[in-house]
Amino acid sequence: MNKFLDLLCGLLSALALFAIMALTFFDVLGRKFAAHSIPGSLEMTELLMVVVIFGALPLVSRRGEHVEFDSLDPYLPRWVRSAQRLVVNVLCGVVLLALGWLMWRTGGQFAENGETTAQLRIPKAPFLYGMGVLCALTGLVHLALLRRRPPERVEGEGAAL
Amino acid sequence: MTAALIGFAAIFLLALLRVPLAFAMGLVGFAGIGLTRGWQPALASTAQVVHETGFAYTLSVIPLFILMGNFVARAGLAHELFAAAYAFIGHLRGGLAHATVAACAGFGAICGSSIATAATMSKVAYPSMRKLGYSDALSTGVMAAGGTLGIMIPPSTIMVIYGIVTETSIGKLFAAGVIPGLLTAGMLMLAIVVVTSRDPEHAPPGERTSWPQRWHALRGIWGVLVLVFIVLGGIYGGFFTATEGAGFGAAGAFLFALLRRKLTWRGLYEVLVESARTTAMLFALLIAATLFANFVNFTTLPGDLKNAITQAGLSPTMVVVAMMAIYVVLGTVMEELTMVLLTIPLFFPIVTSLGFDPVWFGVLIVMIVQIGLISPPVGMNLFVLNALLPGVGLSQIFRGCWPFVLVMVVMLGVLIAFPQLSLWLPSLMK
Repeated sequence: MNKFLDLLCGLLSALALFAIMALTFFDVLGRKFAAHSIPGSLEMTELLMVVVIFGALPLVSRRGEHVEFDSLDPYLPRWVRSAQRLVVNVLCGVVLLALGWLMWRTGGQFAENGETTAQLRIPKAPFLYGMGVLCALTGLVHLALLRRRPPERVEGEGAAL
Repeated sequence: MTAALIGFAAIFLLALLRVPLAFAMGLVGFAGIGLTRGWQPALASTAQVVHETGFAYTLSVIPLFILMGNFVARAGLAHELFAAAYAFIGHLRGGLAHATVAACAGFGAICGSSIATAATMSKVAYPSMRKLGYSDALSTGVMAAGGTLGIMIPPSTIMVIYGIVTETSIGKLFAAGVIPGLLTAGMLMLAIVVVTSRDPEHAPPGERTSWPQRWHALRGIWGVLVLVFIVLGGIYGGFFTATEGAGFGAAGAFLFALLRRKLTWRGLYEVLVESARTTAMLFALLIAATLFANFVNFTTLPGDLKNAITQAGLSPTMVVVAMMAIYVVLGTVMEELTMVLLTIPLFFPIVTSLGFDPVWFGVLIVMIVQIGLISPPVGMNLFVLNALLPGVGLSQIFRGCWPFVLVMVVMLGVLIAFPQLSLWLPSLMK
């Protein structure tokens, strides 16, 4: 299950990110040197950004890479830390499931209004549904973490600053 | 005002419970809007923030710069940078330490992450310093402090985030970081001179390199120079937007790694997924911070704070100095990104209403983050080095970083006193 999740989310976000890079590169090349940009490249980038962010979100949660205040860890007894893990993962799970529901609902509104991107007329609703599903999936990841320890994180990986 | 203060308190409480800060800020922001303005508006504004932050073309600058840095790190370019720097200054006393700072500055011109820069140096520079008998305190201090140049010298993730949150031009912020970044590198080298003069045995000079060898070493890094020149030059010259430059840079770094045969399919996949994960983590924070800022902006706190400061009759510069003092203290115990995201909604309106340039304040914020990253007890760069160099204890790392923390605090003072240092280059831009 974990391997499947890693592969699915990994491939999804990796392909989308590579596509954004290639799209921006060729769009710039085309615009600056051939006076001919890729039609709708901005919109495609926007849609792909959603895939990158929400596709990778379950992986961030599964690897415990969110920014947390963990400096107290060494000083806390074991039972406190288990209790903490319980509370935190239930809370995150509930928040993300709720967010998943909210985005799914928003997707429904978009579908009803028939919202599309401006230039290529790609319907936006499927992407909002996707956001909702991936948020909910991340919520499930947190609930699954209740049953076992998260893997030890390698310091520095996935760090933003 | 009470509502916002309760909000801040709730975030700190949740953070102490070890709730990831993105969820803590998001939840408090949502609940705050819900309690003060009703739950339907809260749901609507949450959906809107998530949707708008997700579907934002300009924000693709974040993953693209992260990707560029990761490709270049994967290409093994830091080795060449270090070798080139060593060839020129390695024969000085503490030469390896100087070379490390110079290599960090060079690496910082392609990589926007302080932690990644320090982590890369631990693989590249640490083994040579160890071999020559450098003390662990000195070598880790240099790597931790040098690593922070990664976020002052453009590109810089924190500048991009500041630019997005405050709607300040990212290109101007990048230009503003150049002189302070180089000056900081110079100050760090000065600190190395002082430290090594007191303990020369632990920082022996390396061998002198002949001029032909030096030119040869430079040949190893021309690729980076070209990439930096195109990307940053393009952004400054107005040829690119920051987003376009980032896309161009990422693709260039990808081709670069490919041509150097440092990229397998597996490696490519790892770089992409790692960058995507960092992006997702950052956007979770960004969405939550926006939601929280929406809540704070609906309360009276920003206005009350502004009034209190006007009535206190402090000079504008004193206000900024006081803010910076708060930041330096907070930075010793807080994670810096959260600190910035939490405080910007309060501090930024004050700073702009006092008539200061947002670009200048952005540079100060970056300097604050730099200091926070290497000031014990909670400094990410120190922890990263501790994790990557299992033989070196945290106490030694803490000991080694102090001189550099001091130097950077002085540097912060210089940047406050001389805004031109930050603002001259951006003023030349169109």
